[in-house]
Amino acid sequence: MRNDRMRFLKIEKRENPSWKVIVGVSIVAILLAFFVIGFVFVGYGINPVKAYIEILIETVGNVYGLTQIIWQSIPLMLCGVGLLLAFKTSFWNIGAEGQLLMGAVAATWVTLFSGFPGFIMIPMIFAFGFAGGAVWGLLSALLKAKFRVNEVITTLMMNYIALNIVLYLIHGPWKGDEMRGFAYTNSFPESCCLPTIGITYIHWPTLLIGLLSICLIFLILTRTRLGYEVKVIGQSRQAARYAGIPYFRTIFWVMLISGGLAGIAGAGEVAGVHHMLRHPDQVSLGYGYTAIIVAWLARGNPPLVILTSFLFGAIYVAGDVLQLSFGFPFQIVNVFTGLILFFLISSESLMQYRITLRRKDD
Amino acid sequence: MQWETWVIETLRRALAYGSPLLLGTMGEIYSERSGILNLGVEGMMILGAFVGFFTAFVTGNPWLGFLMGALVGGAASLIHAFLSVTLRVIQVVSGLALTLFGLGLTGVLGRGWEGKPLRVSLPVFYIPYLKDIPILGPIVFVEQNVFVYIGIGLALILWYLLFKTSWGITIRSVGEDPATADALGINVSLVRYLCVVIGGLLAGMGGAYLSIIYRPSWTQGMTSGMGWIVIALTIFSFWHPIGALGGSYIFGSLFYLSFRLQPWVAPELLTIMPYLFTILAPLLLNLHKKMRRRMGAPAALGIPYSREGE
Amino acid sequence: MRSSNLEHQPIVSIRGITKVFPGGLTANDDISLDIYPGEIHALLGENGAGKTTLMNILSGIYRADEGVFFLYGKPVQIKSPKDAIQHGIGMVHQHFRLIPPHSVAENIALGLGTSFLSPLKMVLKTIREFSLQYNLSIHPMARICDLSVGEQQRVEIVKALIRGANILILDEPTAVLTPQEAQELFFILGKMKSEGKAIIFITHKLEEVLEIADFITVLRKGRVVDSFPVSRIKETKEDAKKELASMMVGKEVILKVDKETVTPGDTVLNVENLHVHNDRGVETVRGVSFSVRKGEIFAILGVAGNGQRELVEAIVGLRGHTGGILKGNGRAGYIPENRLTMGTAPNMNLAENMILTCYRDYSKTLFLDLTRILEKTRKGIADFRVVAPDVKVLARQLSGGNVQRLILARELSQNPGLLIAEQPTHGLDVRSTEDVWRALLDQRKSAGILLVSGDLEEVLSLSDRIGVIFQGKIVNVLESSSAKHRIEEIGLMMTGGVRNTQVSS
Repeated sequence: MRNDRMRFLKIEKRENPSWKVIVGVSIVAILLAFFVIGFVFVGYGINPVKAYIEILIETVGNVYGLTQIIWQSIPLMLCGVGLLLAFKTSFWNIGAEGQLLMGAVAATWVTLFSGFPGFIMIPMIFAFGFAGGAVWGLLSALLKAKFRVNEVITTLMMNYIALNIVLYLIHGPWKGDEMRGFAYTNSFPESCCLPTIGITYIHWPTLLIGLLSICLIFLILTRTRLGYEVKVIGQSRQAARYAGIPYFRTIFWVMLISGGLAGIAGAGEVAGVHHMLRHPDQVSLGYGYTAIIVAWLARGNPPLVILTSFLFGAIYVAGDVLQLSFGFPFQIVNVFTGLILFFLISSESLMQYRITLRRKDD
Repeated sequence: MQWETWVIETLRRALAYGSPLLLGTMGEIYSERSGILNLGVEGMMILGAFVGFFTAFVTGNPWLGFLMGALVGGAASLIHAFLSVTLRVIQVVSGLALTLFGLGLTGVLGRGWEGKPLRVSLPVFYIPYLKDIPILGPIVFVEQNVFVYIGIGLALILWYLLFKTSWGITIRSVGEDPATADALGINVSLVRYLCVVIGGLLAGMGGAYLSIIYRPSWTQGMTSGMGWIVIALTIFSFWHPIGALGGSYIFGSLFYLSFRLQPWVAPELLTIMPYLFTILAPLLLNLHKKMRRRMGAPAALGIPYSREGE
Repeated sequence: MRSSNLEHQPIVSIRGITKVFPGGLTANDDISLDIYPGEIHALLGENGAGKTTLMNILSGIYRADEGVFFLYGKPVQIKSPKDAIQHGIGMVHQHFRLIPPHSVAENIALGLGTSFLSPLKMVLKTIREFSLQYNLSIHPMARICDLSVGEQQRVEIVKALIRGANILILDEPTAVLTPQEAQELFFILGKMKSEGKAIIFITHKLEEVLEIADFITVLRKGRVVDSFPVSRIKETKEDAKKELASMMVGKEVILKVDKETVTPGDTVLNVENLHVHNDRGVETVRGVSFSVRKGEIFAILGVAGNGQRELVEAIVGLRGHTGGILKGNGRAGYIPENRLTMGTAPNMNLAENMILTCYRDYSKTLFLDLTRILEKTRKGIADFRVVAPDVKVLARQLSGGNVQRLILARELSQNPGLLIAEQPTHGLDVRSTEDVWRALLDQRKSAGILLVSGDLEEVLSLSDRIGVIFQGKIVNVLESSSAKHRIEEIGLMMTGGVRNTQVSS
């Protein structure tokens, strides 16, 4: 047993870490990540303190920065809360990125090729966006429930398939008329562009949907039968069997919603920000992957997704700031994200134990 | 005749294209055989690619590039090993974090090195006598760089190690039933650490292959999901190094074909082929119950191990 | 104890071993006995008698709280399975520790420290030697998953022998064997015995004991009842079995509960010629028929592992079967043996657990009726005296007794026509046991109850009719009123001493 090997420290299992401990530890994890990144700054000859101050000023310190954060956090919010639902049922949906892209594809089809009349364009964009992402997500659910194929593999691979579908479309059948070196589709007509707040990029319909989704998921998890079934399956499949909860039907609804929300995020990006379908790496700045940590950090509480998506939106904008002001590559954002995740999961593991000094009589 | 040369050419190129996949897959096989799922392969490969490129560029010595690429992959994998074996976190998340971290870090460090051509070369072989063997000759023994042979050699050695030696029995038992191995006195943690690090070394080496041989240069994200294909290939190969040989070369030919068939089929749709295969492979395997038990995943894969009472 | 004979010293002496588990359960109480070489020593007792615990201590899996071991007369410490192996103690568990996709040789070679390049050479050689020596025929390159259970057991035996075991412990070895395989095993054991090995044989089957044992120790409720050579009781076989059975289960049972008489009503469960297979494909329920009526408790009494698990799973619908199962309308209440992993969702709170099997009734509009759920939870907690600070407590934070009360509250408040209770007081303290018994007796007035248990006292206290199960068949069905006087006979039925005399009830 562990106790035997440590002579000075006593390690015992902590019963239920209080939320104070959880919050405190999460904050420490994030700060640690920032601290480590500081070293990378130093390696590049940049004063980390200066860099962080500049970041703070340009992100939360001025209105423009804030608006940047908000519009970047929209897809994170949508994907994040959808993933939160999936994770609750222990379905490892790594495919939000692909579901987002397929939502974007569906939305583009509606805009450029469906021929719907102008006044229903925007509702259709969202509806089809949802459908595109949902179908993409449901494929993985089917493969898991009926053929027992691990969802990590299927959702991941479908990301790359979606990516290539987009590439195919913008280089091929959907190639725009006014291409100039880079491939993209035609611009969306006015009726299909989402309204934004003033001169910012904030496409508020999507934001609204995002906030509503958070309320919806919260409601589902706390108040509905489906939420209950989701939670039991995530806990113990044996207990779920005992309770007579159908696995496939529950996963079906979960992935419908999770994929659908990511699809809406994709629709929002193309109809609200870019007004065209372009290279996948520009449509999604890795939102689908970052959303995994957004969901994780919210620790199963949908309202917290607002906070965590805001936090990572800020990190994205910080990446922009670093790029513009210091010539720093945007990829630093992934380093942040990776480090935060490392420290988070390590801290979660350590939270399970309480370390005290061993007394003589133990 | 033209059809035949076309096939031979495809297979020949498949060996070259498939080698980084082979290296990565063999490493992940070892890791998973000991029970640890490492989704950080993409991160370890890209780290190996950059560090390998950088070292080879600066020193002019490609072998040093491979060495450093491997070492950096191994070092990165230690993080995952610590988190998965000692702290017993959820392995899926730890591996993902490693990938994000690797992609990000190389994106940052690699800025400014993009597009710089690497002017080093490794020996390319035209082996006399052997190259005249019908069919096999032109595929394996003509114009293949040395790493193809290193890859094949490693596959054979690693296969022997895993299935014919006492270490192999230990590794495989730890991945199937760590409790039983533990009860018989085996240090489960140590075995898992070692296997994860082997995985890292080989992934790093595979990544270095990309930036030193395959496309002697550095581009951000140049692994383009190869690490994920490695994860799938591990399943596809039934966790067997010889299966990895076959699988990597199949995928290698798919990669090559996706270039070759471009005049007729849109390249992006061809690129989808490997990923689609990756989904179909476990699907087909799972359809047959006995196959799954016999050649399926190590039973304890992905499950953190702790002694009862801890 | 045997009189000392200087030439014939015990290999292992156990003195004063006591083991108390957290929660107050005394599994072993001051146990002392001697094991001699060249003998087969049978350790006899019911479930919960303490046999497996004692052997787990001897083989280093548990540590005793008090007591010492002597090996060849010298005191030894056994702190881990490795220690035990080093002292020559090898154990073959009921659930084999083998790796199915690996070959026999690989399983045996694991951890043995064999040669790096040819790890199997030494093992193959030894297997051949053992084959000749002990008649252990196993194909060394066969995969474990392809072997029969009997063959797998032999692999476990070889694993122990190759590590130098002089003392071999077998835990209920024939529980998983066909009669043919059992005979083969006995032959092997006989050979080992003649080579001077000491063999400890844990069992509850009297037939076997009389067939192969040289020495018998009977345990009951953690204490040694008696320890003696087999020759002492072998006057007639039937008398011997009766004597052993009565040692195992005791002569009287003190009934602690008052049972009202209730007139039975309609049939709520009818089982006809039920056949069920376990996960391995072995048929463990072999033609069982019985019925349960409203107003009675019908108990299936038997030592664990005689098909009860599969029987219950088939009735509840969690396992396929052939043969007839007729249940009334509505869902049967089910109190599973695995309280924490199956009967509750451990990380959910009490209210969430209270609706686990009836959540649809509390979410008719697809929305959970939180007020009603809370109400039901509070009522359930109060009625069944679940001790918990508040409703938000998680199920895994409750003690075993309280978890069971929670499950009872949930299942009984649904007023099922049929209630199935599987080992409901297993591992519970006295107070909780009483509560559970009272709840079951109460429910009996409005439902038919199928009680599956290995606890004779419980069965006699609660049930109206008893069906004794052994090796997948109901040996006999008795009225519990007459059962009180036929305890020895029941003991025999549970342990295979009586032939199947069931007439359809």
